[in-house]
Amino acid sequence: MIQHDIIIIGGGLAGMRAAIEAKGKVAIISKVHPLRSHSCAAEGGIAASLGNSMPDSWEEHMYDTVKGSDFLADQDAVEYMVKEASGEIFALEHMGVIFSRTDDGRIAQRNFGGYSKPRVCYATDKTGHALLHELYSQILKKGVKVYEEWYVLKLIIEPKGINEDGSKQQVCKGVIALDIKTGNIELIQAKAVLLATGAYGKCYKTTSNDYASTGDGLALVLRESLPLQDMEFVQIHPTGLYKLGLLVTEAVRGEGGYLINGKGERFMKRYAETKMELAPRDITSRAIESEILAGRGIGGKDFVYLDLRHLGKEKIMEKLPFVHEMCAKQMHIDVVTQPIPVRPTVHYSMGGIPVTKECEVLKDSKNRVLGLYAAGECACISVHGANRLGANSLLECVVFGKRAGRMMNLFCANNEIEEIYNQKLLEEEKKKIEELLNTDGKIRMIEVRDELQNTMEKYCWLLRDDRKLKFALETVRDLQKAYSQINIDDKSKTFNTNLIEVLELGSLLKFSEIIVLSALNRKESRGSHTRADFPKRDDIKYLKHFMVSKNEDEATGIKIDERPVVITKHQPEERKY
Amino acid sequence: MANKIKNKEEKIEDAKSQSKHLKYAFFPGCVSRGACKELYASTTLICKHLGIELVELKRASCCGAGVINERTPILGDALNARNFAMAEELQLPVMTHCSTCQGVMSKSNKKLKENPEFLAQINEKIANEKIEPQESAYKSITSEKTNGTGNARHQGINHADDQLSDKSLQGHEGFRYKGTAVVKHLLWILAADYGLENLQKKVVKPLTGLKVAPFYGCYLLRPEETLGFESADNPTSLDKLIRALGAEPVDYEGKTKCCGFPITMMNRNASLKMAGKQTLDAKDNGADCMVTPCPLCHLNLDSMQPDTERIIEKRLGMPILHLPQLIGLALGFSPEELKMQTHIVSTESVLAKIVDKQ
Amino acid sequence: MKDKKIAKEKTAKYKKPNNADAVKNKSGKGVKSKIIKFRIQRFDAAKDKKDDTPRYDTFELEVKEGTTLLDCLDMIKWKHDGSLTYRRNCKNSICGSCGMKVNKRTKLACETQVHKVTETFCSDEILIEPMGNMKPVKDLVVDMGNFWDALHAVKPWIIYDGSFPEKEFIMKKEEAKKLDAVASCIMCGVCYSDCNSLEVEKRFLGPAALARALRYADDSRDTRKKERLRALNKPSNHGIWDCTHCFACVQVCPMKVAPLEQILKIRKYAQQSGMIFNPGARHHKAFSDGVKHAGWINEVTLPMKSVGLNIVGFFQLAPVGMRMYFKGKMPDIWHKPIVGAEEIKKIYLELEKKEMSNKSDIKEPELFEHRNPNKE
Repeated sequence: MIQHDIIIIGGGLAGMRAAIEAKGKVAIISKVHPLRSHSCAAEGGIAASLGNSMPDSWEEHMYDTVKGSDFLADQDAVEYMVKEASGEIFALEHMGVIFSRTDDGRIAQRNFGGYSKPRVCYATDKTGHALLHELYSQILKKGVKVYEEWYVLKLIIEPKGINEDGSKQQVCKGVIALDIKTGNIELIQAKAVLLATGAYGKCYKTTSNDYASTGDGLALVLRESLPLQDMEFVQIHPTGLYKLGLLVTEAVRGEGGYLINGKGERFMKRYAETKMELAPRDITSRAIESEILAGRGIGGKDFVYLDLRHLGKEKIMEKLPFVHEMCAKQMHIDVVTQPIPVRPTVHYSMGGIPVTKECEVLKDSKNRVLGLYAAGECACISVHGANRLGANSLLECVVFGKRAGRMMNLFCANNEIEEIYNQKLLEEEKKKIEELLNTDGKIRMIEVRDELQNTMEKYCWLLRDDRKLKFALETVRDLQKAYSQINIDDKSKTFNTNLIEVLELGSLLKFSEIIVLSALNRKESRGSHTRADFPKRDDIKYLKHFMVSKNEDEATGIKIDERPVVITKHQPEERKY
Repeated sequence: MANKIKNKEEKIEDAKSQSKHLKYAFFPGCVSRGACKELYASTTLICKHLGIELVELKRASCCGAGVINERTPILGDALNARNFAMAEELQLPVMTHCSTCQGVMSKSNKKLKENPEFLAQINEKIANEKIEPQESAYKSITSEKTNGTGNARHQGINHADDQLSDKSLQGHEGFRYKGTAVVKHLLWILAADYGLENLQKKVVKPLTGLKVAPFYGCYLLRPEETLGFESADNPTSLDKLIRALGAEPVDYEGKTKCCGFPITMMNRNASLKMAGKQTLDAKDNGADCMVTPCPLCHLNLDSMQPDTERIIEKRLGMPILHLPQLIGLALGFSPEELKMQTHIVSTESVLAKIVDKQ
Repeated sequence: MKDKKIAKEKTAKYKKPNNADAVKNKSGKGVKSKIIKFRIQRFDAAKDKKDDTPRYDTFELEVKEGTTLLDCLDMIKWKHDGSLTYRRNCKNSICGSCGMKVNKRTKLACETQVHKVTETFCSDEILIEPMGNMKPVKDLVVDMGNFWDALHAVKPWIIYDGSFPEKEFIMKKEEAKKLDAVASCIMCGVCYSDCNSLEVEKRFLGPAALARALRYADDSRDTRKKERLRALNKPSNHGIWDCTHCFACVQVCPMKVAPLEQILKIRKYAQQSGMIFNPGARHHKAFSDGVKHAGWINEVTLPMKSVGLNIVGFFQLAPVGMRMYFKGKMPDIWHKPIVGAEEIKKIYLELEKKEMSNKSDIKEPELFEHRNPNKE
């Protein structure tokens, strides 16, 4: 029997930051090697009001973030994050992160969409990479046990006592995980478990997310009948490489890049007069889609140009070398002399596993699951509300990763490893995998996944309406049924990526349904969620979070819970940029 | 015999009327004047025979062989800038016949050419040198046409011919590298400037049936960014040259790998294992001999072969030929003229194979 | 289920890989497309023994120009043989997952365009094998344990003895830029796979770890530079002196980290800091001395000086010298200076001392432009 004090699922920024903070016998379980985590692909930067290039304050950072979120962010959480930001940046810098510098040797900061000040610290255009590798170094230094290439199949959550409101209290006692290399399935006990499983953009076809961004953490939670929050808010980044979906960092616009339509206009003047290209992502993406819909794409097609030719070779090579390289490799274009064809691409998910400000996973609007935590993109602590500002995600990962680590330390100090009552769990899980492997199915995994991704992209994209969403829901549910008929070619136990892909598809199918349900439920337009049939923001009915879970007790099989938005400093107002 | 020579001379005239006169500033490097004198002998021999005129840069220093260049890189670049300046004065491209020299000089040249400020600083350092008039500073190993002696095999030191700039003869205030030198290896010159079809025309003793393993090694290929003559992934020049001589090139994985020489003093065991690995690979793929464009590879593959055999506990017996030696054989020179008797591993088996086919 | 014998090569044909059109043709001309054969090594550590003859499967795909190798592998896995196993993640050469051997050269599958490979090798058949110098696990997946151990061994973290500043450390813009270039390594193991030294010396730390070591030794926030250099310099640690200078790592690195150049820098630093009592440094010194005195190297004294006062080394050298002597291959005992040797000595004396004490007034430029985009 393997036992740890703290188990962290996911080895990206949030997971590793938590591991650095965590005490006792700590382990990271990750389905990829930590350095392969998607955090490494973050390009633009990490926000903090250091004020290194002009005076700045956490208050301004907070206002920008809340406004960017279309006032759906919980302001207490935002306040915590922006106040911690500067200290955290310095801590990372002391750990060895190589930030780009100003002329006087301090951490350089640049402009990003939705910010009133140049607030984004960066390491050229590989900020995520710089952070991730340095955090991994700290993991090595500390000697944290890493179960690399292990896939978590199940959370072990069992009842324990009664909550204040009379409901059953639940506690997380560990996980069951599959060692991909050998095919062995093990039960790992722990006092506290942190979900830091990251992004889940792979339910869309056009996405900047990597192969592994399949939201396995969300599926683990759903399987335990726990809810997901604000899942309708999927950030579609304005500038993905046309057809490939790979991200062209916002730093390109931060450094002064233009968006140009088929008529050669800087069309952003129609949508955000003052901020132009530096409007928040939701507004910019909608602007691009509107241009395309109006037939003003390049050559009438479904893309626009991101033009940085006027920046000159020197600036491009100094500030945006990775963009230069990526465009050359993937599109065969030289950004010094040619504009980049771009289209919005699925990039980030504001929603996720609902947690308290202390990163504890919520069972419903009032009660927590003891010993279970979540941080990073998979969590919804709601600092991003309905739309995230660029460079706030890396910040969220490190600030709340650290906080989760500390909270788990506190929890572990007062709790012991809990005995697991259901002795059959491990055997059941082994049997399930065995059955899955031996399914004599007729359907190929890719057929189901393609269909899911295409459906989500067509019917649950930027502009949504009731009809489209209902169709999407039906299709997703059909696909869920087809799942059991999927064939797995690979019968071997060793490194069975075929099996993993099918398991990941299972995750995608599970939470995609919740995304669509949440989108149907929110009958207003806010932030990244745009309903063609309800084009206005409706603060009276919808200035709140919704938590959706699968619940067999309900007639519909679905339970929708509400949670108020925490408003402390900034009352909702109209967003203008 | 006399007839044969005459025949050859006629052919030379033929080739010359077809192609332009090739002339290079010859940078022999250290090893071909020390432990691999047979390389110097065979290079000059075949060049003269092919009508490739060489003006030896006698005043040139060692290129640094990667050693000076890593210990004191600026000194390494200064030495090379000085050497390049000499070739620049002669208005000739530099010819090397050592991959190591080629690799080091290409790298240094790239650095100097791409960084004008650096070049200027280096020039300050080499400009202080006072050059006394010294005619023997350049040695011209002339072709038959310009050499009045009529002795095609004569290798004496000749006065620099009148194409040399007055400046270099009369002495001047130090060197100044303008950044225009071009450095080429003998292999590249034959493959590109001279042309393999022209080389093929000169072959009088085709090496039919001989299986030759081309050993490209490292410095002629990698990194492509500084060398750039051919693909580092799939080089072909040496294979094609072997074919032009009538022999059959052997394909094997070790052909673009390291001979192990650079770590011979630091990790002798690994060095010999490396040599053994590549040699064994060639042998397993049916090679009768290996040919190398680098005297340092030759040292590790040939001179060290008895030690290698002990380390890998396998008999190799693999003759290792310098590039110009292989060409020389096909051009009809005798093994003695090519000094093949100086090799540690006997080349008899190779020679027997060629004679057999005659 | 029947126990399959080692499978014969199977061929699957797919005419239209439907994601191949994900990459459009920028020139506006028709997209070139051709049938390409992928010969892929298959292996399963649970079934196959290490020394078995490798199995290969061949797959045929119609591939459009611009399609990457990863696109093709995905196509094979998804459409035909789900058991084909390889790692991949970001698809954008930043996560470092998808290293594999393509016609014997290690590359990242996500940035390797198959049409280009066929052009370079003049063949429409491409051989795909797992990375080298690491144990295969399954098909194209290898166990990177040694690679990570080597990384761990160089202590890849800042060690700062002192109290931290209240805010950030002040660091020069140029230093950050220089460090960033080396730190942009993505730990893909491509250099490790193609490293010539590692093929014969398993204990060698390898290019990636050593480049990483330099990144910390060069960081002004680190206070243990000397300690690091000493450890890397020690021959028994198989650090910098096991590198055979083959440039394979520089050639294959997808991030243009130029690991060899970094190893050379460490060697330079070590010698500058007076760590000169090892064969490598002695060799370098003896070599340089030869050039100082005569303008060219002295091959007679060089090996002896390199070995130093080392009886074993001497007995290893002696037979080599004898055999060369008898073949007439021995360099002249009298090391004759070249014409102009005096002038060379002058340059040498002016530059060498300054450089060895790190006081040169000339700044050496970086040779390799960091992450230089593909030169078409």
